Amino acid sequence: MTARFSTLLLFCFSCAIQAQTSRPSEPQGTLSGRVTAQGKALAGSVVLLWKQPMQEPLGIETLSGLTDTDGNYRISNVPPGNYYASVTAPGFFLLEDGRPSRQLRPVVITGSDSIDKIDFQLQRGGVVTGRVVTLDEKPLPEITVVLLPETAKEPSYNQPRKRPDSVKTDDRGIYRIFGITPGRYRVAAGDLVTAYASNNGKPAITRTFYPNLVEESKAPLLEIKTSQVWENINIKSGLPQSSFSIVGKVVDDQSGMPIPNAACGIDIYGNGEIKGGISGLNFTNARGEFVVDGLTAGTYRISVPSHLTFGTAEPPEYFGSSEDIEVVDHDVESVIVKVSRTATLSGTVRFEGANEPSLLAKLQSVRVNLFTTPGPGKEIFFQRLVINKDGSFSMRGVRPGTLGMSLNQAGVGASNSFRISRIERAGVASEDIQITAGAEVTDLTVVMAYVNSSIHGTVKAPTVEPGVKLSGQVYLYSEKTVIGFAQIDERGEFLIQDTPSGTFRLVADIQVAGSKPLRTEQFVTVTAGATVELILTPIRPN
Amino acid sequence: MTKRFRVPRFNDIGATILLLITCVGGFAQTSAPPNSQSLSAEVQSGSITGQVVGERGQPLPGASISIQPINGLQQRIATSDTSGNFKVTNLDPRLYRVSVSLPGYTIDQPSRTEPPVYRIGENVRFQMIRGGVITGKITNAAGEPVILIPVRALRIRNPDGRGVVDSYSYGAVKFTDDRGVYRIYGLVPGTYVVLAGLVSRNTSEVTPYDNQTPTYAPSSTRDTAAEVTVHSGEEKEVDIRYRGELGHRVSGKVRSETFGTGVFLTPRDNEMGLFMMAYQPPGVSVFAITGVPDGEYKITAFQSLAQDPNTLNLALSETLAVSVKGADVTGIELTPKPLGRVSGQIVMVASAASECQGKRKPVFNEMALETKRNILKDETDVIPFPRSSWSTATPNKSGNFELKNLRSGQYFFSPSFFARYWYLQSVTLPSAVSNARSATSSKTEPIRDWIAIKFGDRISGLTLTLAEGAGSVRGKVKGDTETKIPPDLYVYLVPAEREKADDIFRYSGSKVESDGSFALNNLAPGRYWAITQVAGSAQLSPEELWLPSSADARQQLRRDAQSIGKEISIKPCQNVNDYQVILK
Repeated sequence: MTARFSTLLLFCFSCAIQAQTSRPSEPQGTLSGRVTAQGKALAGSVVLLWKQPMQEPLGIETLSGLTDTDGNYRISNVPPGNYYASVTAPGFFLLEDGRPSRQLRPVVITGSDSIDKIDFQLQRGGVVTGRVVTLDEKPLPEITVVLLPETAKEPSYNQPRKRPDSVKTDDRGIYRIFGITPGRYRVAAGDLVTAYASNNGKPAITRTFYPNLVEESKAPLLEIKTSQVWENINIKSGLPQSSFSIVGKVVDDQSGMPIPNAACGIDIYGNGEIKGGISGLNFTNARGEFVVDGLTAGTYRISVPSHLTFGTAEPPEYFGSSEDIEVVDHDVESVIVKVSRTATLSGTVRFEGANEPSLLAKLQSVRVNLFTTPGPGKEIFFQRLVINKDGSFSMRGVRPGTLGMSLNQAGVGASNSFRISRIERAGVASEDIQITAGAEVTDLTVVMAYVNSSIHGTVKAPTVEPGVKLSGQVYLYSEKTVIGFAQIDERGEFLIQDTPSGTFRLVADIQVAGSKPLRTEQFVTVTAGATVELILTPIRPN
Repeated sequence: MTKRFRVPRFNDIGATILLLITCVGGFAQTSAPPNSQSLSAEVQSGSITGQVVGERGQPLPGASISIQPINGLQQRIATSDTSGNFKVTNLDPRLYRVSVSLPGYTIDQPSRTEPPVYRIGENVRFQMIRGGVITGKITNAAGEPVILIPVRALRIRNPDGRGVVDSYSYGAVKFTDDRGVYRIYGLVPGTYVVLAGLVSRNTSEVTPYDNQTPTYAPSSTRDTAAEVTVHSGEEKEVDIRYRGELGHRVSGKVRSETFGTGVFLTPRDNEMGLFMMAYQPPGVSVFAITGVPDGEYKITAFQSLAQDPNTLNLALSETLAVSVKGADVTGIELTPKPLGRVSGQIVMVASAASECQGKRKPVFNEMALETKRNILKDETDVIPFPRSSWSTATPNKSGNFELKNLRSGQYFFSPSFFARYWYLQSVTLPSAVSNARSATSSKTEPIRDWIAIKFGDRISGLTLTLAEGAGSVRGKVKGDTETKIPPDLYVYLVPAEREKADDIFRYSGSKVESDGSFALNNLAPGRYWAITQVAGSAQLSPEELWLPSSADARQQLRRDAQSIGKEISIKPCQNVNDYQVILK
């Protein structure tokens, strides 16, 4: 494949969602099934195919099918590969083997397969609704209300917008959370990180549990069942917290000179660890001074540059962070943020004994990441590295630390055949290339390998009744390193793609529904560019 | 307020695009040198204070106030206290826009405009009213609730019945709950259409409604949508029977190697100001907007090249026409290109007149140099961006400025400054630039017409001269008998001196308030004729009134003014008060 071809392919796969694309040379599979809710057909739900490993494709590239009035769906033009099938139906949750599940179903498409009966059973979720009011019964609008499961820990601060277990009150203080999976929950109003609301000028109330408690352990648990509606779960909250400002200056660590126009981010800490951050709204003025408003009592650090820095034309010239800043009950003044210069790296990519120009062209469809690890407890610097068509690269704005690189797939259907073999500095391979502040490193070489073999296997378990579902994982080892992985789908098929050539150890953990996992091990010899066909016959141990 | 100070505001799309841009946020140093010590005698920082009150003047606590420099991204925020008061300290001496929000409330505004500009030391009073509420239920053909579908209310008319293109964005949006119920609150009074569907494709999320066209209340397409009028504090019920019809897919490629790109699809007539958008993260070159109903559209890609705290640096593709007729549209290629820039300086000329001694001079860092784009009569290329405020510049301490983000079109420039005895005397360009746009020349030429700017243009040497000696006229428009003041009435001044007939800066207008009062400020001293004009009803377009760039237009205005106007003479630094204009 050339770079042009793979871009085209990517484009066509995205078309395949609706338009029929004819690509006779490339076999394509079909997936179909039925979606029901409480035993009845569910129309208008979406079944999605996610590419394994769990990389979230863009919405427009996701292969999907909508269920009709009989609950049936069909996804055609699926290119060979490993997928997870999942269903989206707002207000409902997935029931698998009688239990609520967020489990994704592994599906392996090996050619022009037609996989049917990938069915999903959904249940209508529970509902909790009520009002959030002040102590004198005034409604509190636009307050976050969350549902906290009895056992799970605090949901992460970075919640997707439509997560069903977190909503905001309306102008009357009314909230309604729906699609809740059965379980025991506490209901609370207010963000855990109040600075998000206060920094946005919104009322930041202390997290208050139903009915009016600040302490989580004392708050009652609601037992929520399928389709059940809990009404009048009203929460009485105290007044919003006061917020304060942090005022300070950004200076060069070496010269002490103020740094104008620096983007300042706010890191929010709690119990000694970072809880979140805010960026994009604060900059130093011509005298290097900054003001950050709307911070409730808590621990913060001001960092330069602010965290959202990917994709900019002008990489940051400086980086640094303040000490911990405690905001208690007044503005904090005279904070000094000392910053150091970032490093500049450049070098070339070459391939191990292969035809380089065509591989370099192919590499254009792969996302290469560069990262530096500064040491325990410190933040890793991570950025996309653009490799030019001649293999050269350069990156400014790099922070100090140990240099590393990684590869990402560019999208559905893109090749995952590239591997980074080693990074060399001045011709010497090292796993410990240190980048120092302000350094200009020009002698890097990234050595890559291109692998394009695959192993297709079928599990044939003689003791298994026909129709019983299989599952499990397959690992490919080179010495003690895992170099390949695949899920076994319900029919017993698996596909390990993009493996190097050589002799490797293949380990399969096979699960037959309703019994203990079985393990098989064998050596497999793979030749470059070829697909090895395997049949695994696990034997039940006595 | 004098006419040259207002620019339209496209707030929602602005926020959307700003969001895109802050997502690819960053850091860059400007070429401007840090403030020298000579400025230290001036004020280094100050505050903006104010109060938020309700319709009866009662204090409104808990309102969120946002203060942003007119051409920067820095955002300062405050919350009104129990007395409705707020204060933001530590502000650099610049010009700021101040806006307010409070859930359920709104500011009563006939059409959306940029918030006014304030300096440090000023006091801002916001009067808010209870917004309207539109609520209802979305069901499918079987009568079952449609869950988690976006519902939008788009304002199409003012309370007085005049059309507005309020929001070029998705409008106020809320999602339905498990009963199919939605509730949109805090609506500006006016007439709305309500629609369900229209899913934003700027996330990786997949929803059941992605490929479906929006359904307008009660169960219609855009052409037959029902209208609903809400007043302040009023709640209206609007149910929609959702049709779930499959739309088409408009897709293609956009050059997006390093930067995230927004792709906007807008109905060609733009009647409802609605657009559909797809956001491409850096490195993704394919885009698709799905669920598009049949119709005529235009499509544009929009990119932020870099973020700088003082200005944004944008790229925009040409706007292409897209016709969707019963099939998908594929293969659209959009290439964002750098936009035009104009640099220059502001020159100040003091007056020797004794009446003008000891008056306040304009200060460079409290000036805003704004651009206005000429909307031609046959223009179809009306797109809501870049926001005009992204093409606003503040001069540095030497009076030099650079205006960025100017897409192809005809432009003119107007400075706003806080010095009532100063006026804009002239705008010049080096003649070589204005003629051939090539080699620099010491010769300059006064500009009396819109300036054509194309993609990627770099124009330098624009000089704006501010002169001291401005006067002002305040007064009232009186009808003959019980004549009512029309809502779009302007008092317009036309130069009476023959030798000033071609001086376009001597033509200016001011909107007449409902009580008939008007104020014209920053006027060059001289003789004028005052006439009244109803915007849009004159033979000349609003653009021609704003900038009478053709000799014909000027001649016509002078002829009309001479016959019906009343002459008024303004001496240097003179304020004419209680001036009466009779409405004929």
